[in-house]
Amino acid sequence: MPLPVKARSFLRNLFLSRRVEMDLDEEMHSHLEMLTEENIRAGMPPQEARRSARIELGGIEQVKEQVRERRVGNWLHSVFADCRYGARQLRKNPGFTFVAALTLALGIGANTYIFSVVDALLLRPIKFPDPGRVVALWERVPNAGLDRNELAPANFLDWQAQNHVFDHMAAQDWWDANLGGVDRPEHLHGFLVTPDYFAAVEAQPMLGRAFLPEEGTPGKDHVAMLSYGIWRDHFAADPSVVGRPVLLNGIDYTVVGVMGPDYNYPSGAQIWASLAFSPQSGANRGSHYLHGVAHLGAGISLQQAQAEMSAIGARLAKQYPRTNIGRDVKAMPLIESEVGQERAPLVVLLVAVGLVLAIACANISNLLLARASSRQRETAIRAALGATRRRLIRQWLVESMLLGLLGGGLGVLLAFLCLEVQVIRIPPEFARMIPGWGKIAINTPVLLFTTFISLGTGLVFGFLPALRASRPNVNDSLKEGAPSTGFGRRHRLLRNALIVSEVALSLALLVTAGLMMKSFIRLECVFPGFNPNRLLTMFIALPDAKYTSSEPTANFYERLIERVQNLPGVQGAAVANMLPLGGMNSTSTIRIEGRPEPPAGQEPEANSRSVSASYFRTMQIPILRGREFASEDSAKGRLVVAVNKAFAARFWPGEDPLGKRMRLTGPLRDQPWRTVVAVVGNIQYELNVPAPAEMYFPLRQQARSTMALVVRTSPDPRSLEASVRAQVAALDRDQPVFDIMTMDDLRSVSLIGWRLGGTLMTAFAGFALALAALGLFGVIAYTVKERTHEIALRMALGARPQEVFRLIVGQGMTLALMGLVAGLPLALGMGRAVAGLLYGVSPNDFATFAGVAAILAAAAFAACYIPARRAMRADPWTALRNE
Amino acid sequence: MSAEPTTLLQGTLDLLILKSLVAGEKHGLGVSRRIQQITGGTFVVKPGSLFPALHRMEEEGWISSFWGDSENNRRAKFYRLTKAGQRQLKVETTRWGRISWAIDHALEAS
Repeated sequence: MPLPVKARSFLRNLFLSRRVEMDLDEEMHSHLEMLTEENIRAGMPPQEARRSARIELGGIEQVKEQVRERRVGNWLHSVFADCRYGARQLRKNPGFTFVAALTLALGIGANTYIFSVVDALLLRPIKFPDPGRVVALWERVPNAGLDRNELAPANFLDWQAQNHVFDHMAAQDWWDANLGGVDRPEHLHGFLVTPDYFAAVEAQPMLGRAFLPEEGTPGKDHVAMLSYGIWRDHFAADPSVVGRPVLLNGIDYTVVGVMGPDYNYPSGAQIWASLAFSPQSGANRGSHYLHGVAHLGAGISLQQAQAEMSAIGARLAKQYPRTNIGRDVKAMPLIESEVGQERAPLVVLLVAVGLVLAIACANISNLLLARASSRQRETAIRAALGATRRRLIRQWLVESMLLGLLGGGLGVLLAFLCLEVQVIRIPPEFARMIPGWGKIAINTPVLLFTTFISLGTGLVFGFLPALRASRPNVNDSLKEGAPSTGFGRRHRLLRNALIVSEVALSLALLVTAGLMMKSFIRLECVFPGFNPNRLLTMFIALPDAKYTSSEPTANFYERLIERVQNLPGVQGAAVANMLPLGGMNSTSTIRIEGRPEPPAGQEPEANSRSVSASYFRTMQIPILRGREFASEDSAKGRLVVAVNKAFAARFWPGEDPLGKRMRLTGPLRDQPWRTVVAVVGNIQYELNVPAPAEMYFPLRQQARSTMALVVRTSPDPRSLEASVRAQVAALDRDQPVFDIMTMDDLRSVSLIGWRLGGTLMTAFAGFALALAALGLFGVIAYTVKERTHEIALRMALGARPQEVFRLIVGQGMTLALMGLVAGLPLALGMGRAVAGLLYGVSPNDFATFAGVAAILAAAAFAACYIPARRAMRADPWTALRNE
Repeated sequence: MSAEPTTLLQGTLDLLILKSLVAGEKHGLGVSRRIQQITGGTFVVKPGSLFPALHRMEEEGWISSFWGDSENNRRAKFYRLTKAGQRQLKVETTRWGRISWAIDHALEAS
């Protein structure tokens, strides 16, 4: 059988190589002897016989090399040899190896770091066994520009009943769960989910069971599923917790199961309970607050599902025109739906680190090209001894790939350090909400990626030098005293082209960094419309079971404000259901008195806020017209509203809004008219979006159970955290607070994307600039060395040092200028690509382009300066005497 | 010189080596001289082609080698045909016959 023979040969070649080699050597010599004898027998004199035999054999070493080339497993063997040889070469040139490995370590490290973030956040933010089958469902209202609107309960129930494309469909809603019966009450980020939810997201509990269908009916819905973290931290990881009661919002729930440690959807979820619709809420088509998830049935594609859901949406629009007109259904992969705003900046960063690596490659290519010319002799000797061109190329590539791996290893270390010291830092309250954030790590996929790019970069930067170096001119190189430099014109062109592309790529990166940094600085300077300094904020969610109506809820908050206001160090306190810069919003559709009724589905919308009377004072929002809310604005008093400047300008342009009336509309019934009693200044809910129309309702007339407490303090706001908490506990010892942040925290978190984008881009671009400058320096220094003779001759013939200086600097600056010109379209393209991430600066902002070009030119000049000075000092006599 | 002979030439060389060993075991020079002899001097196999081919064919299992004494009592490495080699010779012969017929046919066409 040929296979075992071949396998045996393979193993023998690999492990008994010494014996195989000796055998071959002996065979060659015996062959030579026999040839010689043959010649002698034919009558040649011994000397002549030997010579002739040698000619016929054609060189023992060459024949041996040809035999080796053909051996089974030769490639493996010779790759080992190449590796050994390459490692020796790298060790022999510690200076080169150090510079190249460091450059690569920075380039590959940056790639590894960004990829680890991309991998966790974009590629695998949520773990599903079969992510393609788990679908997010949204309502879509194209006319209102709403691509992803939450679901109304009645619509969800109809979808669930009428579709044939999903085998499971479920809805979820946010749920503030106050965990009671423990020493210190704690707020849990919970979700209410319909019974099919865990099946829809393909998740199974680690302990216990998922919710049962009958648990989706009112009265049977007090069942809870614990997350792994809560089970571990609050229930001591006790498996017998399943079946036991747990006090949530003052009600006993039965724990039916515990999810495993890997389950992380929805991001940050700590507990789940069953969502049951009462007959009344199940008929609601006007309130949109549910998130839909579904699991595709076997053999159904997403397109088929979308088609059927759209058909159902159209049917419902016809059936319930008042609420559903213009409402379509949108089905999309859940992962895609979850990964939102992080995608664009991360992709930009990934492209940026890719470009940095490309520049690093160009730089090392250049270094290697220079080395290729000084190693010409060595290559020539190898070629003379029978190394084929292919073998020479492979040797160079193996050496480059070793270098790549060395850089990659250091790069992984660097990326690991970046993760350890948390270069990207986000407050845990927010990090929790970003799907996949906790999973960022140097793990197997990241290491595979790094290995791949390390070898890949080795191939890329080694390719050109390998091609050049493997074509030595054996005769010239081996001549005694041949100059060891210079491959001629084409070689120089190649090196120049590499420098030009480095400068071009750097320009693109610097421009992008400049634009993003400028956006960040512009945003930092945006005035939010209130005084954000020394404000402590925290959320309180009062449970419905205990605070059954508006009155006790409002009472609680008013008493809390009073107590907090009396604390030493507190200048003011207030509550509001939404915080500026907090990333949350709530809107309502409205009608203005005396205006014609708009067609269904096209009512104007405005932000709606419930606030205590002290809110404007505490936040220092100016009251432009009218008065503050007061005690007369009670549940029994006249219904009033305060509007912001944008609201007044939009709905009563050129009129006095005071005394005018508006009301909230609903698809089912409209609220009573409210009279405008104040116009207040605009405040920014997001710094990068102009303030929209906004209305404020007094707490007593529109109480909400979940409110944010804001406290203006004289000392550092964090120092008052404990005493403010104590006031909450004094009013209700079972009531937890959560998301405790200062307004400064909120502000910096709201800008985190821009800050990280700007600073990381700047760091990468700075690195790119340094690399390009180094590359230019290398090339110019090399040229000066190459042209020493010519320069000396020029000086001997009367050229002044300044002229020499100008000659050298001129050469470098020409390259830089060509790079700038080549990089311009690239930079314009990059600017356009990041346009969506910019604020207050145009993608082709002249100042940024000019500034960046000036920086690059200055760096290029600096890079040429030293070699040019050296050229100026060239001593004509020494140079010429060497001839 | 070219690193890879065309498949036709390589096939031919294999065929000739196998054929030269049918009469009995031979060392490298013997194989070379035998080929020269049976082809009427048309093919002179240089060591640079011969030895790589011999070693490759040994690894394929078509021939096996052993050290022995030459006709002049010199230590030499001998090659002999294996069972697999005899089978391979048949395969190569058939193949060559087909090629040769095809080429003849092609040349006869006007």
